[in-house]
This record gives sequence, structure tokens and C-alpha cells, in this order.
Amino acid sequence: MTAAHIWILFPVILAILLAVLYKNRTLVVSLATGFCLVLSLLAVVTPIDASVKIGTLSAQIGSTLTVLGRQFILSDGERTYLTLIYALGAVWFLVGGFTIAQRFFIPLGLAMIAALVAAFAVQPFFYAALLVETAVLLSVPILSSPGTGAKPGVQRYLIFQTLAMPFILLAGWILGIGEANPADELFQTRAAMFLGLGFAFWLAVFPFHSWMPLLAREVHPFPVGFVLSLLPTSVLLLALDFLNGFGWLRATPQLFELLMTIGVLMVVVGGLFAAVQTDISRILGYAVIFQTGYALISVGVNSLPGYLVFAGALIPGLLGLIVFVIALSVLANQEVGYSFRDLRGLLHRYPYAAVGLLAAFASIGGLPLLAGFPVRQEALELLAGKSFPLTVWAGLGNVAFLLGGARVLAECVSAEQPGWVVLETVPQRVFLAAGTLFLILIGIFPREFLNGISFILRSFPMLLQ
Amino acid sequence: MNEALNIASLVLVMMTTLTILWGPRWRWIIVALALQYAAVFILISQIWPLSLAAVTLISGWMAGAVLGASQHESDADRQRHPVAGRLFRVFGGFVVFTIVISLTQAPGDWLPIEKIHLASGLILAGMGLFQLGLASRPLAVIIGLLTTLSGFMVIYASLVTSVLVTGLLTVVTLGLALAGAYWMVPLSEEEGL
Repeated sequence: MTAAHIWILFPVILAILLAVLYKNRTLVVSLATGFCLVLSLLAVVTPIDASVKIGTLSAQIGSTLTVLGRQFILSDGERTYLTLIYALGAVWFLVGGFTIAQRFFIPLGLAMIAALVAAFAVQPFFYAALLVETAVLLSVPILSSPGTGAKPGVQRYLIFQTLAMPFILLAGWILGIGEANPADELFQTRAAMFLGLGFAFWLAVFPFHSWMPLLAREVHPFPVGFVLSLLPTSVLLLALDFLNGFGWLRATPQLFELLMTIGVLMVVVGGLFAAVQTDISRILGYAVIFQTGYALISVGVNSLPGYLVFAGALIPGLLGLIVFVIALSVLANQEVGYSFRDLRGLLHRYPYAAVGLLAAFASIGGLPLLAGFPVRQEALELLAGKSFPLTVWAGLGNVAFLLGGARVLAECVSAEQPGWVVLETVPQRVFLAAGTLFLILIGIFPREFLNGISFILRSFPMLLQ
Repeated sequence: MNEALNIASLVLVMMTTLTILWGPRWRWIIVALALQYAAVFILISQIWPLSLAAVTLISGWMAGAVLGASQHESDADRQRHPVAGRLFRVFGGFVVFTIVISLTQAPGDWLPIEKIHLASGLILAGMGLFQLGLASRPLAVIIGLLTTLSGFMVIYASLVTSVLVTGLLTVVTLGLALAGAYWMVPLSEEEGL
């Protein structure tokens, strides 16, 4: 038995089983959530490539599975990643059970997680491009309701994500040659160019970002949130894997300067566009661009504190996104609408959704006392140590994003009708209250909540040297 | 013999991509796609083992069959472009050919593969991208993506031979076709599945 069997193959088998059982919704939600939780906990407690004794029995989970001459390796260092991605799956599937009625969301979502884990595990790792593409293809039915046709946002999403694949595969081939000729700068430049283009398509880097707000506007926020929480996170971790794998990439300072600049550009684009929107669903797309920008800044700093900030920002970022999406889902399910006009007086009708929305917005923007604040502050501080002009731009982008939040706040609190009503359902209240509470708790006690996630960096030992 | 086959494949690639750009009735588009995959097969079979190259052909034809099965006569042909628009597309196609031919004539060591393979691959990729730039309907988008990927396959096959890559590219080709079919099948039929 190898780790790939447990964290890749079994979820795929269960996904197929769940697709068959789709009519029994409660069973599907319970099985998927429970299974993801078990896999997440198993990753916490079970060492890989080491013997585990249960009573008199002794077992060992191997790290390597060989398929068609290629290896899928999930070593002990990958346990934090496995914990994170399956815990994320458990949260989305549990909340999804109460939020959307799309029948294949859970089976396809589980298969998507397995494909992304496989992408992280495959060696040589440029084959990851094909597995990420598989995950993207699995997400298409999640993002398009049956019979509704292909909306422009989903089409554009598929186009951009698919175009990334050839660039990454070609970059992988060039990198292989470059390793044999480490002194050949021409190969390195070409590989960096192909890699850059591939990741730019994957991460919706400006100017390839147009699909993200479009998708967020056209599709129910829940599936969009699920896809936008999984894909950019996995792709960013893959990017770190690439950096970890190639010494000459790490030894190229221009690459890290470029990453910082692109990161700042994304923060500015995400922040400015979020500030001028009049549709809250589109802001979800810009919020993801904004967060990805900060992640690239942290990596671009290329130091241990930078990588720690990158890892530390994962949980606040994902939690902020989940709360944002649950709040938007309330608006979608109750047919409130997404325009700012529809948000007017929201606090008096949907207080949990309004507070959750504002808390998520403020946390993503890095407002003090919320989960995003410590990591945003640290990222800006590290950036300031590298480049003052870039810090000013990132700060401006950040202020613009928060101004967008202030506009949402102004609409939500404007009272058009006297008195208060609570129109959310009980599960919606529970999820929103819990999410908001965690955003505040993480903001107040960041060390207690965020220290554990830094172990995800054990997957990238060369970056920590 | 090989050279004649290669040139025939290149011509076939040019004709099929132009046919798809012209945008005739959907049946002709599917036939052109099938011929396009035949050309890709001929090119790849000179580099890869025949059995591996055949996988590309079969997956491409299956993708065409899936897309064809999801078409509705009235829907697919209703939104055909006017002649002026089609002439513009074909003109754009010739511009792509010109760019590719000039690129492959220039000396360079970017990709150490035969010129005819490079030209065929770049024409497919370029025409696919051009098609994607103009496409708004699902069929056109999926055909554009499949064409782009075919071009990439021709180039990549000259660089790497891997069973896993072939298998995964097959999955991607079929996945794209299924995604297209999913978009194009109306709700009543989808529910009946």
C-alpha cells in the first residue's frame, strides 16, 4: 500500500461510487465529508515510509507508486499539504450539502481534488500540467449547470487553463535539457519564458485574468468558490515545487524580481477593479486575483520569512474566500441579487450574510484584528525590504481593495426599512457565524492557528536552505 | 516516401484548418477534424511507434464522434456567419500560414525538430488560436482547443516519447470533447441520460 493509493486512488474510486449514488444526497454529502475528514486526519497522524504499530500489527505506507514508467511520490513532507487539501474538501462538501443542489458537484469535486494531489505527486513533475488539465476538465460540469449551455466565462476559463498545459510541458522538456547544460543561459531563458506563460495562464495573471470576474458573475458563487480555492492554491504549490526542483531557477534573482512585480501588479489590478465594481459577485473574482498577487509577492521575496508568510497566508486566504462564498450563496439562493442596489439594507434583512461578507472582505484586504492582517502586514514589510516603490504600489492596491469593502459596508448598513429580520436559514447562520468567528480568532491569535501550516514547506526543502 | 507523406500531411492540415475556419455545416467541420487527426497521425507515426501514434488518431476520431453526436441540425447551422465574415476568417488563416512559414524558414535552434513537423504543428496551433479568438459557440471553442492541442502534440511528439503523456493527452482530448458535448446537449436529453 502506498500513499498514492490512499490519497489519490481511493478518492477516485469513491468519487465514481458517489456519482452512482447521486440520488441519495444526504448519504453522498456524509460519505464525501467523512471520507475527506478521515484522509485529512490520516495525513496528520500517519507517517509515510515509516512503520506504524497498531497492537501487534505493523504496517508501512510507502511513498512511491510507479505507473507506466512514471512515479507518483507522496513523501512524509507532503502530509501537511494532504491535510490541508482534504480538510478543504471536507469543508466545501459539508457546506455544499446545505448550499447547492447540483448533483455531481461532490463526486466531481472529489475527483478534482484527487487529480490535483496526483499533479503534486507525479515525477517528473512537469507531467503535472496534464493532471491539472484533467482537474480543470472535471470542473467544467461543476461550473455549468446541465442544459444551460456554455457561458462566456466558463468557455474562457477552459481556454486559458488549457493553453497553460502546452507551455508547462515544453518548459519541462527544456528544463530537462537545461539540467544537462547548466551553463547554457539560452535554455534557461526559454524555460523561464515558457514556465512564466504557463503559470500566468493558470493563475490568471494580468492580462489573462478576464475570465475570473466573468466566471464569478455568471455562475453560482459556491462552485466558483470551490474551484477558485482549489486551483490557484494547488498551482501556487506546484510553482514552489518547480522552484524547489531546479537549482538554477532558484539562483536567478531576476525571476524573483519578476514574481514580485507581477504580484504587485495583481494586487493593484485586483484592488482597483474591486474598488470600482457595482456587482459583488465580480468582486469575488478580483479578490482571488488580489490574494494570488500577495502569494506571488511572498514567493518573490525569496527568503525563509517570505515562504513562511506564503504558507501562513493559505488558511486566512482560504477561510476568507469560503466565508465570502457562503455569504454570496445566501444572496444567490434567496434571489437577492448581486448589484450594490440589491445590497442596500442587507444588514437588516440578512445580518449573518452581511457581517460574514464584510468580515471576509476586510480579512482578505488585511484589516487589523482579522485573519488576513498578520500575513498582509508581514508581506508588505518584507516587500519594503526589497523595493520601496513596489511597496507603495502594493499598498495603494490594498487601500483600493479596502475602499471597495467600505462601499459594500455603506450599502449594507443603509437602512431602507426600519426594524430587523433574519432571513437566513439555520445552517446558513451556523456556517457564517462559525466562519466569521474563526476569521476574528485567527486575527487575534495568529500564532496558535497558523504555525502548523508552515510545515507545508517541508515539501520544498531546497527553498528553505 | 516519407517526405511525400509529410508534404501531403502538411497540405491536409492547411486544408482542414481552413475548412474549419470557413465554418460550413457542422458535419463538414467534424469531417475536417477527422481528416486533421489523420494528418496528425501520419506525422506522429514517423516519430512514435505506430501503436502509440494510433492512440492519438483514435482519441481524435472519438472526440469528433462525441462532438458530432451532440449536434442538432437546427442549432448548429442557425448561427452561420455571413460570407464577408468567412472571407475575413480565411484571409486571417492565410496570414497565420504566412507567419508560420516565415518562422520555420528563419534559422534557429528553438526546437530541434524537422521543419515540416514544426510547420505542421505551428500551423495547427496558430489556426487553433485564431479560431479561439473568433469563437463564441461551444463547438467552435472546443474545435479550436482540439486543433491547438493537435499542433502541440505534433511538436511535442518530436521531443518526448512517453506512454503516460500519450495516455493523459488522450484523456484531455476526450475530456474536451465531452465538455463540449455537455455544453451542447439540451436539458431534456441530459436528464434522460
